[in-house]
Amino acid sequence: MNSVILRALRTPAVAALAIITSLVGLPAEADAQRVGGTGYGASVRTTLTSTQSPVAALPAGGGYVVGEAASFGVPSTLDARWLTAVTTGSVSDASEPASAQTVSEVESVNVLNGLVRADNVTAIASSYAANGTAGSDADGSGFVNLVVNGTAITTDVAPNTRIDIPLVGYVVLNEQIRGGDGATSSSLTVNMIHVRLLDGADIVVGSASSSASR
Amino acid sequence: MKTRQTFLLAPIVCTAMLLAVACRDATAPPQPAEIGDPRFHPIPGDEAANFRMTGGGRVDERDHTGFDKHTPESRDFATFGFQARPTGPNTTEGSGNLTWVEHNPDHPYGGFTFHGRVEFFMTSAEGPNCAYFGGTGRARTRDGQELDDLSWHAEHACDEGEPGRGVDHIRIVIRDYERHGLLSGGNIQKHKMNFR
Repeated sequence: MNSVILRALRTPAVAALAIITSLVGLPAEADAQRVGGTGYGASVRTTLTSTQSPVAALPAGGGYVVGEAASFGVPSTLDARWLTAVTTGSVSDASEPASAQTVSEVESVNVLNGLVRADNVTAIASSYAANGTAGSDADGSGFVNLVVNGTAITTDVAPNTRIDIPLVGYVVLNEQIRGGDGATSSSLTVNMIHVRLLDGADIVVGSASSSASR
Repeated sequence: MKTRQTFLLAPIVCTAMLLAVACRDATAPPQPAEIGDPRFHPIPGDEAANFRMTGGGRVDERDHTGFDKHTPESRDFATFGFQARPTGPNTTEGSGNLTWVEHNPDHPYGGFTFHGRVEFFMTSAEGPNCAYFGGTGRARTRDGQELDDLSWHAEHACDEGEPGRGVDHIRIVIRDYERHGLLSGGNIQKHKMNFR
């Protein structure tokens, strides 16, 4: 039997098929883990236009991606400096967690001619999926010297804090959108400043998302 | 106006304004000569690693005494992201990248964004879940400078659990800059390494 197999492998086509077969025969656990991550400093969407600062997007198998710009702005709408987003993560075999982390930060933020201002906006999203448990958190996210509609925000902002601005729209601070089942998957999107105007325009500053599944 | 600076080889590496840097004893295998900061060479006990690491997050403190995020008027913190790995079995050569952002305006450069290449990777005497890695990179400072050929190393980056806040920790040295502490957000993850 062995001599029959060896004679068969001398045929190039059969040898190639054997190699391919061995590659696809990987343990199922190696293919089951997935990670994701997206980060960007700022975006502006109106009924007429859409613009976004450089995006860092993590491949499903993990890696390291950076998106940054020295400045970003839309006249009379948004001005920001030192936008940096970095996303990292990796998958492994079933014995180890899959994990992903995204950090997005912006400095010298000015939205709608001072309606929302901050010296620094930092968004952090971190996800992991381990054996029987998965989770995400936004620890480390925050503002420095945040002012909204003339009022200084001097304490940490609770998730999904909404501030209405009459005749303009509203602002959601530390917006957190969660997903996953908490056992095999988890995801989180953090938008630190999310302005929604009455005319339908949408402004986001400091966005970080992460996901992990197994 | 941006200026390009190249580190000058000099007998004195620290000034009154800058933090002292602990330079490793050059007992490692010979490194290529270069104009720049002294290379940080492996010390006895550092070994080739059979794992890799990824991580990202925030550090507010400068030691291991706490990990709470500073109050909202403070810019004294740093954020980072990295991936690092050995290039093969039984070698301390490494590959990967690191981004480190220092936000403290009281820093001599007013803060900076640093991008580094990983050129060596090995175990760390800090513990079995820790790695020591580093290389060279460049920084863009808030006062408008671009600094090239900067030597840097993560003296240790440690994965002590999930989530990483309050348990994972990192010590980064970039020329004469240093920050060292528990994560106030994010995570550092150790992964198995498959050498094929």
